[in-house]
Amino acid sequence: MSFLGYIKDKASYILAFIVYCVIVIFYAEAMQINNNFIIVIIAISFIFASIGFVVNYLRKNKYINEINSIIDGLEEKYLISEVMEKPKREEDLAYYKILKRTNKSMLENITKMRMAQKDYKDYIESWVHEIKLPITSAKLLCENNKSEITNKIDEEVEKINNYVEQALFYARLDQVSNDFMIRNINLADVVRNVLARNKKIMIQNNIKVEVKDIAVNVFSDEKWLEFILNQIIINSIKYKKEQNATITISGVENKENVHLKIKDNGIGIKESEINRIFDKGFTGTNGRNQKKSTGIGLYLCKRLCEELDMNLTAKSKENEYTEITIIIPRIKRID
Amino acid sequence: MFNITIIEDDPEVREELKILLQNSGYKINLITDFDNVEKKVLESETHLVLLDVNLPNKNGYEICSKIRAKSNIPIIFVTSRNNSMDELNGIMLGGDDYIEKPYNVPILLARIQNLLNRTYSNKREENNIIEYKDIKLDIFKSQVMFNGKEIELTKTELKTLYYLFTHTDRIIARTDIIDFLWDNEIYADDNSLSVVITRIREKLKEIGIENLIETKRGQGYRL
Repeated sequence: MSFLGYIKDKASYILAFIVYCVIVIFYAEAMQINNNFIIVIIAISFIFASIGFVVNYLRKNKYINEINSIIDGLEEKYLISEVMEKPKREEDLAYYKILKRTNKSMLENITKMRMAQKDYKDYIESWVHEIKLPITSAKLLCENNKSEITNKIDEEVEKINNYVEQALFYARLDQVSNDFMIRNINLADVVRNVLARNKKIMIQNNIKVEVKDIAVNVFSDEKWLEFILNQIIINSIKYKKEQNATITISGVENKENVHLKIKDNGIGIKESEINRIFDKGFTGTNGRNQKKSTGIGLYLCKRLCEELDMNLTAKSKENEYTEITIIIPRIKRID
Repeated sequence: MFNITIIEDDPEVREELKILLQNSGYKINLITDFDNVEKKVLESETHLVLLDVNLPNKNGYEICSKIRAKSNIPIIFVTSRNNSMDELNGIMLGGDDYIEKPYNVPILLARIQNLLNRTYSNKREENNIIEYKDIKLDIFKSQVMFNGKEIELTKTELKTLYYLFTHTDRIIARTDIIDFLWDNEIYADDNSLSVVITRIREKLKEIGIENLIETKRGQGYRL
Protein backbone atom coordinates (compact mmCIF):
# COMPACT_ATOMS: atom_id res chain seq x y z
CA MET A 1 0.00 0.00 0.00
CA SER A 2 1.63 3.24 -1.11
CA PHE A 3 1.28 6.40 0.95
CA LEU A 4 0.28 8.46 -2.07
CA GLY A 5 -2.47 6.02 -2.93
CA TYR A 6 -3.61 6.10 0.67
CA ILE A 7 -3.84 9.90 0.56
CA LYS A 8 -5.89 9.68 -2.63
CA ASP A 9 -8.26 7.24 -0.89
CA LYS A 10 -8.63 9.69 1.96
CA ALA A 11 -9.29 12.71 -0.30
CA SER A 12 -12.70 13.24 1.30
CA TYR A 13 -11.08 13.59 4.75
CA ILE A 14 -8.63 16.12 3.40
CA LEU A 15 -11.44 18.03 1.75
CA ALA A 16 -13.36 17.99 5.05
CA PHE A 17 -10.26 19.35 6.82
CA ILE A 18 -9.94 22.19 4.32
CA VAL A 19 -13.63 23.03 4.72
CA TYR A 20 -13.07 22.96 8.49
CA CYS A 21 -10.14 25.38 8.14
CA VAL A 22 -12.19 27.74 5.92
CA ILE A 23 -15.08 27.72 8.43
CA VAL A 24 -12.66 28.41 11.30
CA ILE A 25 -11.12 31.33 9.38
CA PHE A 26 -14.50 32.84 8.48
CA TYR A 27 -15.75 32.38 12.02
CA ALA A 28 -12.60 33.96 13.44
CA GLU A 29 -12.87 36.87 11.01
CA ALA A 30 -16.51 37.40 11.98
CA MET A 31 -15.64 37.30 15.68
CA GLN A 32 -12.61 39.57 15.02
CA ILE A 33 -10.20 37.16 16.69
CA ASN A 34 -6.49 37.81 16.43
CA ASN A 35 -4.95 36.42 13.21
CA ASN A 36 -2.06 34.83 15.08
CA PHE A 37 -4.50 32.88 17.17
CA ILE A 38 -6.20 31.55 14.06
CA ILE A 39 -2.87 30.42 12.65
CA VAL A 40 -2.07 28.61 15.88
CA ILE A 41 -5.47 26.88 15.94
CA ILE A 42 -5.15 25.77 12.32
CA ALA A 43 -1.54 24.68 12.79
CA ILE A 44 -2.42 22.59 15.84
CA SER A 45 -5.38 21.06 14.01
CA PHE A 46 -3.14 20.33 11.05
CA ILE A 47 -0.51 18.67 13.18
CA PHE A 48 -3.01 16.46 14.98
CA ALA A 49 -4.81 15.54 11.76
CA SER A 50 -1.50 14.66 10.08
CA ILE A 51 -0.35 12.54 12.98
CA GLY A 52 -3.66 10.70 12.98
CA PHE A 53 -3.36 10.29 9.25
CA VAL A 54 0.17 8.88 9.30
CA VAL A 55 -0.43 6.64 12.30
CA ASN A 56 -3.49 5.25 10.69
CA TYR A 57 -1.59 4.65 7.49
CA LEU A 58 1.25 2.89 9.29
CA ARG A 59 -1.14 0.70 11.23
CA LYS A 60 -3.06 -0.37 8.16
CA ASN A 61 0.08 -0.88 6.17
CA LYS A 62 1.52 -3.07 8.89
CA TYR A 63 -1.66 -5.13 9.03
CA ILE A 64 -1.66 -5.70 5.28
CA ASN A 65 2.03 -6.58 5.30
CA GLU A 66 1.42 -9.13 8.02
CA ILE A 67 -1.28 -10.82 5.99
CA ASN A 68 0.93 -10.74 2.92
CA SER A 69 3.79 -12.41 4.71
CA ILE A 70 1.47 -15.16 5.93
CA ILE A 71 0.36 -15.67 2.34
CA ASP A 72 3.96 -15.82 1.17
CA GLY A 73 4.59 -18.66 3.59
CA LEU A 74 1.53 -20.58 2.46
CA GLU A 75 1.78 -23.32 -0.14
CA GLU A 76 -1.88 -22.96 -1.02
CA LYS A 77 -2.48 -19.23 -0.90
CA TYR A 78 -6.23 -19.50 -1.06
CA LEU A 79 -6.30 -20.90 2.45
CA ILE A 80 -5.42 -17.47 3.89
CA SER A 81 -8.82 -16.88 5.47
CA GLU A 82 -8.43 -20.13 7.41
CA VAL A 83 -5.02 -19.19 8.69
CA MET A 84 -5.19 -15.45 9.41
CA GLU A 85 -6.33 -14.11 12.76
CA LYS A 86 -9.83 -12.81 13.04
CA PRO A 87 -9.52 -9.01 12.84
CA LYS A 88 -10.78 -6.80 15.68
CA ARG A 89 -11.68 -3.66 13.76
CA GLU A 90 -15.19 -3.52 12.35
CA GLU A 91 -14.19 -2.66 8.78
CA ASP A 92 -11.52 -5.38 8.58
CA LEU A 93 -13.98 -7.82 10.05
CA ALA A 94 -16.43 -7.10 7.25
CA TYR A 95 -13.77 -7.77 4.63
CA TYR A 96 -12.67 -10.86 6.52
CA LYS A 97 -16.18 -12.24 6.37
CA ILE A 98 -16.39 -11.61 2.63
CA LEU A 99 -13.07 -13.39 2.15
CA LYS A 100 -14.32 -16.33 4.17
CA ARG A 101 -17.44 -16.63 2.09
CA THR A 102 -15.64 -16.54 -1.24
CA ASN A 103 -13.06 -19.00 0.01
CA LYS A 104 -15.67 -21.43 1.16
CA SER A 105 -17.36 -21.36 -2.19
CA MET A 106 -14.05 -21.84 -3.97
CA LEU A 107 -13.02 -24.74 -1.77
CA GLU A 108 -16.30 -26.43 -2.57
CA ASN A 109 -15.60 -25.95 -6.23
CA ILE A 110 -12.08 -27.28 -5.96
CA THR A 111 -13.31 -30.35 -4.13
CA LYS A 112 -15.89 -30.92 -6.81
CA MET A 113 -13.27 -30.60 -9.55
CA ARG A 114 -10.88 -32.92 -7.74
CA MET A 115 -13.57 -35.53 -7.40
CA ALA A 116 -14.43 -35.20 -11.08
CA GLN A 117 -10.77 -35.48 -12.00
CA LYS A 118 -10.23 -38.51 -9.81
CA ASP A 119 -13.35 -40.04 -11.25
CA TYR A 120 -12.04 -39.51 -14.75
CA LYS A 121 -8.62 -40.84 -13.86
CA ASP A 122 -10.19 -43.95 -12.33
CA TYR A 123 -12.18 -44.38 -15.51
CA ILE A 124 -9.04 -44.13 -17.65
CA GLU A 125 -7.27 -46.63 -15.41
CA SER A 126 -10.07 -49.16 -15.72
CA TRP A 127 -10.45 -48.46 -19.43
CA VAL A 128 -6.77 -49.15 -19.96
CA HIS A 129 -7.15 -52.29 -17.93
CA GLU A 130 -10.05 -53.43 -20.13
CA ILE A 131 -8.49 -52.60 -23.47
CA LYS A 132 -5.30 -54.43 -22.60
CA LEU A 133 -7.16 -57.72 -22.72
CA PRO A 134 -8.03 -57.57 -26.44
CA ILE A 135 -4.57 -56.16 -27.12
CA THR A 136 -3.07 -59.13 -25.32
CA SER A 137 -5.09 -61.67 -27.25
CA ALA A 138 -4.42 -59.90 -30.56
CA LYS A 139 -0.68 -59.99 -29.87
CA LEU A 140 -0.81 -63.65 -28.90
CA LEU A 141 -2.83 -64.44 -32.03
CA CYS A 142 -0.11 -62.79 -34.14
CA GLU A 143 2.61 -64.68 -32.30
CA ASN A 144 0.84 -68.01 -32.73
CA ASN A 145 0.13 -67.48 -36.41
CA LYS A 146 3.36 -66.00 -37.68
CA SER A 147 3.31 -64.66 -41.20
CA GLU A 148 4.29 -61.49 -42.96
CA ILE A 149 0.82 -60.11 -42.42
CA THR A 150 0.56 -60.93 -38.72
CA ASN A 151 4.00 -59.42 -38.21
CA LYS A 152 2.66 -56.17 -39.61
CA ILE A 153 -0.51 -56.43 -37.57
CA ASP A 154 1.61 -57.03 -34.52
CA GLU A 155 3.53 -53.82 -35.18
CA GLU A 156 0.28 -51.90 -35.47
CA VAL A 157 -1.09 -53.45 -32.30
CA GLU A 158 2.12 -52.46 -30.55
CA LYS A 159 1.48 -48.88 -31.66
CA ILE A 160 -2.01 -49.05 -30.19
CA ASN A 161 -0.52 -50.38 -27.00
CA ASN A 162 1.89 -47.49 -26.90
CA TYR A 163 -0.88 -44.92 -27.30
CA VAL A 164 -2.86 -46.64 -24.58
CA GLU A 165 0.11 -46.39 -22.26
CA GLN A 166 0.51 -42.72 -23.06
CA ALA A 167 -3.09 -42.15 -22.03
CA LEU A 168 -2.53 -44.03 -18.80
CA PHE A 169 0.56 -42.10 -17.81
CA TYR A 170 -1.04 -38.84 -18.87
CA ALA A 171 -3.94 -39.52 -16.53
CA ARG A 172 -1.53 -40.36 -13.74
CA LEU A 173 0.40 -37.15 -14.03
CA ASP A 174 -2.02 -35.06 -12.03
CA GLN A 175 -2.35 -37.35 -9.07
CA VAL A 176 1.05 -36.48 -7.80
CA SER A 177 3.21 -39.01 -5.98
CA ASN A 178 0.59 -41.70 -5.63
CA ASP A 179 1.42 -44.01 -8.43
CA PHE A 180 5.14 -44.27 -8.40
CA MET A 181 7.50 -45.95 -6.04
CA ILE A 182 11.10 -44.84 -5.94
CA ARG A 183 13.32 -47.84 -5.43
CA ASN A 184 16.86 -48.88 -6.02
CA ILE A 185 16.70 -50.42 -9.46
CA ASN A 186 19.15 -51.76 -11.97
CA LEU A 187 19.34 -49.63 -15.09
CA ALA A 188 20.38 -52.60 -17.21
CA ASP A 189 17.05 -54.34 -16.48
CA VAL A 190 15.09 -51.32 -17.62
CA VAL A 191 17.08 -50.97 -20.85
CA ARG A 192 16.78 -54.70 -21.50
CA ASN A 193 12.99 -54.64 -21.11
CA VAL A 194 12.56 -51.67 -23.40
CA LEU A 195 14.78 -53.23 -26.08
CA ALA A 196 12.88 -56.50 -25.80
CA ARG A 197 9.65 -54.62 -26.31
CA ASN A 198 10.95 -53.09 -29.51
CA LYS A 199 12.82 -56.13 -30.72
CA LYS A 200 10.53 -56.95 -33.60
CA ILE A 201 10.32 -53.48 -35.09
CA MET A 202 14.07 -53.01 -34.72
CA ILE A 203 14.87 -56.24 -36.52
CA GLN A 204 12.33 -55.48 -39.22
CA ASN A 205 13.94 -52.10 -39.79
CA ASN A 206 17.46 -53.48 -39.49
CA ILE A 207 18.44 -51.13 -36.70
CA LYS A 208 21.75 -51.70 -35.01
CA VAL A 209 21.72 -51.43 -31.23
CA GLU A 210 24.76 -50.77 -29.10
CA VAL A 211 24.58 -50.87 -25.34
CA LYS A 212 27.38 -49.99 -22.96
CA ASP A 213 28.05 -49.13 -19.32
CA ILE A 214 24.52 -49.44 -18.06
CA ALA A 215 25.11 -51.94 -15.25
CA VAL A 216 24.47 -49.35 -12.55
CA ASN A 217 21.85 -48.91 -9.89
CA VAL A 218 19.68 -45.82 -9.76
CA PHE A 219 16.80 -44.55 -7.66
CA SER A 220 13.66 -44.34 -9.72
CA ASP A 221 10.36 -46.00 -10.50
CA GLU A 222 10.94 -48.90 -12.83
CA LYS A 223 7.66 -48.61 -14.75
CA TRP A 224 7.85 -44.88 -15.23
CA LEU A 225 11.44 -45.02 -16.33
CA GLU A 226 10.63 -47.85 -18.70
CA PHE A 227 7.81 -45.81 -20.19
CA ILE A 228 10.05 -42.77 -20.65
CA LEU A 229 12.88 -44.76 -22.22
CA ASN A 230 10.41 -46.53 -24.48
CA GLN A 231 9.04 -43.23 -25.80
CA ILE A 232 12.55 -42.08 -26.60
CA ILE A 233 13.49 -45.32 -28.37
CA ILE A 234 10.25 -45.23 -30.34
CA ASN A 235 11.15 -41.73 -31.51
CA SER A 236 14.61 -42.90 -32.54
CA ILE A 237 13.01 -45.65 -34.60
CA LYS A 238 10.40 -43.35 -36.08
CA TYR A 239 12.90 -40.71 -37.18
CA LYS A 240 15.68 -42.98 -38.40
CA LYS A 241 17.47 -42.67 -41.70
CA GLU A 242 16.94 -45.35 -44.30
CA GLN A 243 20.51 -46.68 -44.23
CA ASN A 244 22.69 -47.91 -41.35
CA ALA A 245 20.38 -46.85 -38.57
CA THR A 246 22.08 -47.20 -35.20
CA ILE A 247 20.91 -46.52 -31.67
CA THR A 248 23.52 -46.29 -28.94
CA ILE A 249 22.49 -46.49 -25.31
CA SER A 250 25.15 -45.66 -22.78
CA GLY A 251 25.45 -44.67 -19.16
CA VAL A 252 27.81 -42.09 -17.70
CA GLU A 253 27.88 -41.92 -13.94
CA ASN A 254 28.99 -39.22 -11.60
CA LYS A 255 28.70 -38.98 -7.84
CA GLU A 256 25.04 -38.08 -7.72
CA ASN A 257 23.54 -39.06 -11.05
CA VAL A 258 23.65 -41.41 -13.97
CA HIS A 259 23.34 -39.81 -17.38
CA LEU A 260 21.60 -42.31 -19.59
CA LYS A 261 22.28 -41.27 -23.17
CA ILE A 262 20.22 -42.47 -26.09
CA LYS A 263 21.89 -41.45 -29.30
CA ASP A 264 20.72 -42.22 -32.81
CA ASN A 265 22.07 -41.35 -36.23
CA GLY A 266 18.65 -40.36 -37.53
CA ILE A 267 17.30 -37.34 -39.31
CA GLY A 268 17.88 -35.08 -36.31
CA ILE A 269 16.06 -31.96 -35.19
CA LYS A 270 16.32 -28.43 -36.61
CA GLU A 271 18.31 -26.11 -34.39
CA SER A 272 15.41 -23.68 -34.28
CA GLU A 273 13.13 -26.39 -32.95
CA ILE A 274 15.26 -28.21 -30.41
CA ASN A 275 14.20 -26.02 -27.52
CA ARG A 276 10.56 -26.72 -28.10
CA ILE A 277 10.53 -30.50 -28.49
CA PHE A 278 9.41 -31.02 -24.89
CA ASP A 279 6.52 -28.59 -25.27
CA LYS A 280 3.02 -29.96 -25.24
CA GLY A 281 1.57 -30.33 -28.71
CA PHE A 282 4.80 -29.38 -30.48
CA THR A 283 5.22 -31.53 -33.56
CA GLY A 284 7.98 -29.79 -35.48
CA THR A 285 8.93 -30.28 -39.10
CA ASN A 286 9.73 -33.96 -38.64
CA GLY A 287 6.47 -34.73 -36.93
CA ARG A 288 4.47 -32.92 -39.56
CA ASN A 289 6.31 -34.61 -42.40
CA GLN A 290 5.58 -38.04 -41.00
CA LYS A 291 2.03 -37.02 -40.11
CA LYS A 292 1.96 -39.29 -37.11
CA SER A 293 3.11 -37.11 -34.31
CA THR A 294 0.83 -35.88 -31.57
CA GLY A 295 3.38 -33.83 -29.68
CA ILE A 296 2.50 -35.64 -26.48
CA GLY A 297 5.23 -38.28 -26.07
CA LEU A 298 8.22 -36.12 -25.19
CA TYR A 299 6.11 -33.63 -23.25
CA LEU A 300 4.85 -36.48 -21.12
CA CYS A 301 8.41 -37.77 -20.62
CA LYS A 302 9.55 -34.37 -19.41
CA ARG A 303 6.67 -34.08 -16.96
CA LEU A 304 7.17 -37.60 -15.63
CA CYS A 305 10.88 -36.88 -15.21
CA GLU A 306 10.08 -33.82 -13.14
CA GLU A 307 7.89 -35.88 -10.83
CA LEU A 308 10.65 -38.42 -10.34
CA ASP A 309 13.35 -35.84 -9.68
CA MET A 310 15.01 -36.68 -12.98
CA ASN A 311 15.93 -34.46 -15.85
CA LEU A 312 15.67 -34.74 -19.60
CA THR A 313 17.81 -32.91 -22.13
CA ALA A 314 18.28 -33.08 -25.88
CA LYS A 315 21.07 -32.37 -28.33
CA SER A 316 20.84 -32.74 -32.05
CA LYS A 317 22.25 -31.84 -35.40
CA GLU A 318 19.97 -31.95 -38.39
CA ASN A 319 20.64 -34.93 -40.67
CA GLU A 320 23.28 -36.26 -38.29
CA TYR A 321 22.12 -37.31 -34.87
CA THR A 322 19.82 -36.85 -31.91
CA GLU A 323 20.97 -37.50 -28.38
CA ILE A 324 18.50 -37.54 -25.52
CA THR A 325 19.92 -37.69 -22.00
CA ILE A 326 17.94 -38.85 -18.99
CA ILE A 327 19.58 -37.77 -15.76
CA ILE A 328 18.66 -40.22 -13.01
CA PRO A 329 19.59 -39.86 -9.34
CA ARG A 330 21.82 -42.45 -7.73
CA ILE A 331 20.79 -41.43 -4.26
CA LYS A 332 17.35 -41.20 -2.76
CA ARG A 333 16.24 -37.61 -2.65
CA ILE A 334 12.46 -37.81 -2.61
CA ASP A 335 9.93 -40.17 -1.11
CA MET B 1 8.69 -81.77 -20.01
CA PHE B 2 7.51 -79.01 -17.73
CA ASN B 3 3.86 -78.57 -16.96
CA ILE B 4 2.44 -75.05 -16.60
CA THR B 5 -0.94 -74.19 -15.13
CA ILE B 6 -2.73 -71.19 -16.61
CA ILE B 7 -5.29 -69.44 -14.43
CA GLU B 8 -6.88 -66.79 -16.64
CA ASP B 9 -10.51 -65.79 -17.04
CA ASP B 10 -10.45 -64.25 -20.52
CA PRO B 11 -11.12 -67.17 -22.88
CA GLU B 12 -9.31 -65.70 -25.91
CA VAL B 13 -6.18 -64.89 -23.97
CA ARG B 14 -6.30 -68.27 -22.26
CA GLU B 15 -6.52 -70.21 -25.52
CA GLU B 16 -3.81 -68.25 -27.28
CA LEU B 17 -1.53 -68.39 -24.30
CA LYS B 18 -2.00 -72.14 -24.21
CA ILE B 19 -1.03 -72.42 -27.88
CA LEU B 20 1.96 -70.16 -27.40
CA LEU B 21 3.32 -72.13 -24.48
CA GLN B 22 2.61 -75.46 -26.15
CA ASN B 23 4.56 -74.25 -29.18
CA SER B 24 7.41 -73.44 -26.84
CA GLY B 25 7.44 -77.02 -25.59
CA TYR B 26 5.44 -76.92 -22.38
CA LYS B 27 2.53 -79.05 -21.29
CA ILE B 28 -0.44 -76.97 -20.29
CA ASN B 29 -2.98 -77.40 -17.57
CA LEU B 30 -5.93 -75.04 -18.02
CA ILE B 31 -8.21 -73.97 -15.21
CA THR B 32 -11.52 -72.62 -16.43
CA ASP B 33 -13.65 -72.93 -13.33
CA PHE B 34 -12.42 -70.79 -10.50
CA ASP B 35 -13.94 -72.54 -7.50
CA ASN B 36 -11.32 -74.10 -5.30
CA VAL B 37 -8.52 -73.08 -7.62
CA GLU B 38 -5.84 -73.69 -5.01
CA LYS B 39 -6.99 -77.26 -4.52
CA LYS B 40 -6.89 -77.90 -8.26
CA VAL B 41 -3.39 -76.51 -8.50
CA LEU B 42 -2.11 -78.50 -5.57
CA GLU B 43 -3.61 -81.73 -6.88
CA SER B 44 -2.14 -81.31 -10.36
CA GLU B 45 1.49 -82.13 -10.96
CA THR B 46 2.30 -78.70 -12.28
CA HIS B 47 5.72 -77.05 -12.24
CA LEU B 48 4.70 -73.41 -12.52
CA VAL B 49 1.54 -71.32 -12.22
CA LEU B 50 0.62 -68.31 -14.35
CA LEU B 51 -1.92 -66.55 -12.21
CA ASP B 52 -4.16 -63.71 -13.35
CA VAL B 53 -4.78 -61.19 -10.59
CA ASN B 54 -8.36 -60.31 -11.52
CA LEU B 55 -10.63 -63.31 -11.67
CA PRO B 56 -14.42 -63.29 -11.52
CA ASN B 57 -15.36 -62.88 -7.84
CA LYS B 58 -11.85 -63.87 -6.88
CA ASN B 59 -8.56 -62.28 -6.27
CA GLY B 60 -5.32 -63.79 -7.51
CA TYR B 61 -3.46 -62.64 -4.42
CA GLU B 62 -5.74 -64.67 -2.17
CA ILE B 63 -5.30 -67.75 -4.30
CA CYS B 64 -1.55 -67.21 -4.21
CA SER B 65 -1.37 -67.05 -0.45
CA LYS B 66 -3.55 -70.13 -0.16
CA ILE B 67 -1.25 -72.06 -2.48
CA ARG B 68 1.79 -70.71 -0.66
CA ALA B 69 0.44 -72.02 2.64
CA LYS B 70 0.93 -75.52 1.30
CA SER B 71 3.44 -75.43 -1.54
CA ASN B 72 6.49 -73.63 -2.89
CA ILE B 73 5.55 -74.04 -6.52
CA PRO B 74 6.71 -71.04 -8.61
CA ILE B 75 3.96 -68.50 -9.24
CA ILE B 76 4.05 -65.72 -11.82
CA PHE B 77 1.40 -63.05 -11.49
CA VAL B 78 -0.10 -61.72 -14.67
CA THR B 79 -2.12 -58.56 -14.75
CA SER B 80 -3.16 -55.70 -16.95
CA ARG B 81 -3.18 -53.25 -14.08
CA ASN B 82 0.20 -51.77 -13.89
CA ASN B 83 0.67 -49.90 -10.73
CA SER B 84 3.39 -50.23 -8.20
CA MET B 85 1.14 -51.24 -5.34
CA ASP B 86 -0.14 -54.24 -7.25
CA GLU B 87 3.36 -55.38 -7.96
CA LEU B 88 4.37 -54.99 -4.35
CA ASN B 89 1.27 -56.87 -3.24
CA GLY B 90 2.09 -59.73 -5.57
CA ILE B 91 5.65 -60.07 -4.35
CA MET B 92 4.72 -59.72 -0.68
CA LEU B 93 2.15 -62.49 -0.94
CA GLY B 94 4.69 -64.94 -2.27
CA GLY B 95 4.60 -64.46 -6.02
CA ASP B 96 7.92 -65.16 -7.70
CA ASP B 97 7.51 -62.76 -10.57
CA TYR B 98 5.12 -60.25 -12.01
CA ILE B 99 4.28 -59.75 -15.67
CA GLU B 100 2.08 -57.16 -17.30
CA LYS B 101 -0.39 -57.59 -20.08
CA PRO B 102 0.00 -57.31 -22.95
CA TYR B 103 2.83 -59.79 -22.60
CA ASN B 104 5.90 -59.21 -24.51
CA VAL B 105 6.36 -62.76 -25.76
CA PRO B 106 10.18 -63.00 -25.51
CA ILE B 107 10.09 -61.52 -22.01
CA LEU B 108 7.30 -63.84 -20.91
CA LEU B 109 9.09 -66.92 -22.21
CA ALA B 110 12.41 -65.84 -20.74
CA ARG B 111 10.93 -65.27 -17.30
CA ILE B 112 9.19 -68.64 -17.34
CA GLN B 113 12.38 -70.34 -18.44
CA ASN B 114 14.45 -68.55 -15.80
CA LEU B 115 12.09 -69.41 -13.02
CA LEU B 116 11.91 -73.04 -14.07
CA ASN B 117 15.69 -73.28 -14.32
CA ARG B 118 16.12 -71.71 -10.94
CA THR B 119 13.59 -73.98 -9.28
CA TYR B 120 14.31 -77.26 -11.01
CA SER B 121 17.95 -76.88 -11.97
CA ASN B 122 18.71 -80.54 -11.23
CA LYS B 123 16.05 -81.69 -13.68
CA ARG B 124 17.58 -80.07 -16.71
CA GLU B 125 17.17 -82.17 -19.78
CA GLU B 126 20.23 -84.06 -20.89
CA ASN B 127 19.82 -83.74 -24.61
CA ASN B 128 22.83 -81.53 -25.16
CA ILE B 129 24.20 -82.84 -28.44
CA ILE B 130 22.57 -82.24 -31.80
CA GLU B 131 23.70 -84.08 -34.89
CA TYR B 132 23.45 -83.24 -38.55
CA LYS B 133 25.27 -85.27 -41.24
CA ASP B 134 27.90 -86.59 -38.80
CA ILE B 135 28.54 -83.10 -37.49
CA LYS B 136 27.92 -82.89 -33.76
CA LEU B 137 27.02 -79.71 -31.92
CA ASP B 138 27.61 -79.86 -28.17
CA ILE B 139 25.53 -77.15 -26.55
CA PHE B 140 26.97 -77.35 -23.03
CA LYS B 141 30.58 -77.35 -24.17
CA SER B 142 29.86 -74.90 -26.99
CA GLN B 143 31.79 -77.03 -29.49
CA VAL B 144 31.42 -78.49 -32.97
CA MET B 145 32.82 -81.96 -33.50
CA PHE B 146 33.57 -83.65 -36.83
CA ASN B 147 35.86 -86.59 -37.69
CA GLY B 148 37.41 -86.57 -34.22
CA LYS B 149 38.32 -82.91 -34.48
CA GLU B 150 36.63 -80.20 -32.49
CA ILE B 151 36.49 -76.44 -32.34
CA GLU B 152 35.16 -73.97 -29.75
CA LEU B 153 32.37 -71.55 -30.57
CA THR B 154 31.43 -68.23 -29.07
CA LYS B 155 27.96 -67.81 -27.63
CA THR B 156 26.61 -66.05 -30.71
CA GLU B 157 28.14 -68.60 -33.07
CA LEU B 158 26.69 -71.41 -30.99
CA LYS B 159 23.22 -69.89 -31.01
CA THR B 160 23.34 -69.32 -34.76
CA LEU B 161 24.47 -72.87 -35.50
CA TYR B 162 21.94 -74.24 -33.03
CA TYR B 163 19.17 -72.46 -34.89
CA LEU B 164 20.40 -73.75 -38.25
CA PHE B 165 20.77 -77.30 -36.89
CA THR B 166 17.25 -77.32 -35.50
CA HIS B 167 15.65 -75.92 -38.67
CA THR B 168 17.17 -78.09 -41.38
CA ASP B 169 14.00 -78.57 -43.37
CA ARG B 170 13.76 -75.18 -45.02
CA ILE B 171 15.46 -71.95 -46.04
CA ILE B 172 15.84 -69.79 -42.99
CA ALA B 173 15.21 -66.09 -43.35
CA ARG B 174 17.96 -63.85 -42.05
CA THR B 175 15.49 -62.00 -39.83
CA ASP B 176 14.46 -65.30 -38.20
CA ILE B 177 18.05 -65.94 -37.11
CA ILE B 178 18.45 -62.34 -35.93
CA ASP B 179 15.17 -62.69 -34.04
CA PHE B 180 16.53 -65.81 -32.35
CA LEU B 181 19.91 -64.26 -31.57
CA TRP B 182 18.45 -61.16 -29.95
CA ASP B 183 18.47 -61.56 -26.25
CA ASN B 184 19.49 -59.76 -23.12
CA GLU B 185 23.05 -59.13 -24.17
CA ILE B 186 23.23 -59.61 -27.89
CA TYR B 187 21.45 -57.13 -30.11
CA ALA B 188 22.06 -58.61 -33.52
CA ASP B 189 21.50 -56.84 -36.80
CA ASP B 190 21.92 -57.70 -40.44
CA ASN B 191 25.63 -56.84 -40.64
CA SER B 192 26.56 -58.66 -37.48
CA LEU B 193 24.78 -61.78 -38.72
CA SER B 194 26.90 -61.76 -41.90
CA VAL B 195 30.02 -61.45 -39.77
CA VAL B 196 28.95 -64.34 -37.55
CA ILE B 197 28.19 -66.58 -40.52
CA THR B 198 31.59 -65.79 -42.07
CA ARG B 199 33.34 -66.64 -38.80
CA ILE B 200 31.41 -69.88 -38.42
CA ARG B 201 32.38 -70.90 -41.97
CA GLU B 202 36.03 -70.22 -41.23
CA LYS B 203 35.92 -72.27 -38.04
CA LEU B 204 34.13 -75.14 -39.74
CA LYS B 205 36.76 -75.09 -42.50
CA GLU B 206 39.48 -75.56 -39.85
CA ILE B 207 38.02 -78.93 -38.88
CA GLY B 208 37.35 -79.92 -42.46
CA ILE B 209 33.73 -78.98 -43.01
CA GLU B 210 33.10 -77.01 -46.17
CA ASN B 211 30.00 -75.69 -47.85
CA LEU B 212 27.79 -76.62 -44.94
CA ILE B 213 25.91 -73.37 -44.83
CA GLU B 214 24.49 -72.38 -48.15
CA THR B 215 23.57 -68.76 -48.87
CA LYS B 216 20.26 -68.24 -50.63
CA ARG B 217 20.49 -64.84 -52.17
CA GLY B 218 17.75 -62.52 -50.98
CA GLN B 219 16.19 -65.27 -48.89
CA GLY B 220 18.54 -66.45 -46.18
CA TYR B 221 20.52 -69.56 -45.33
CA ARG B 222 20.12 -73.29 -45.55
CA LEU B 223 22.14 -76.23 -44.31
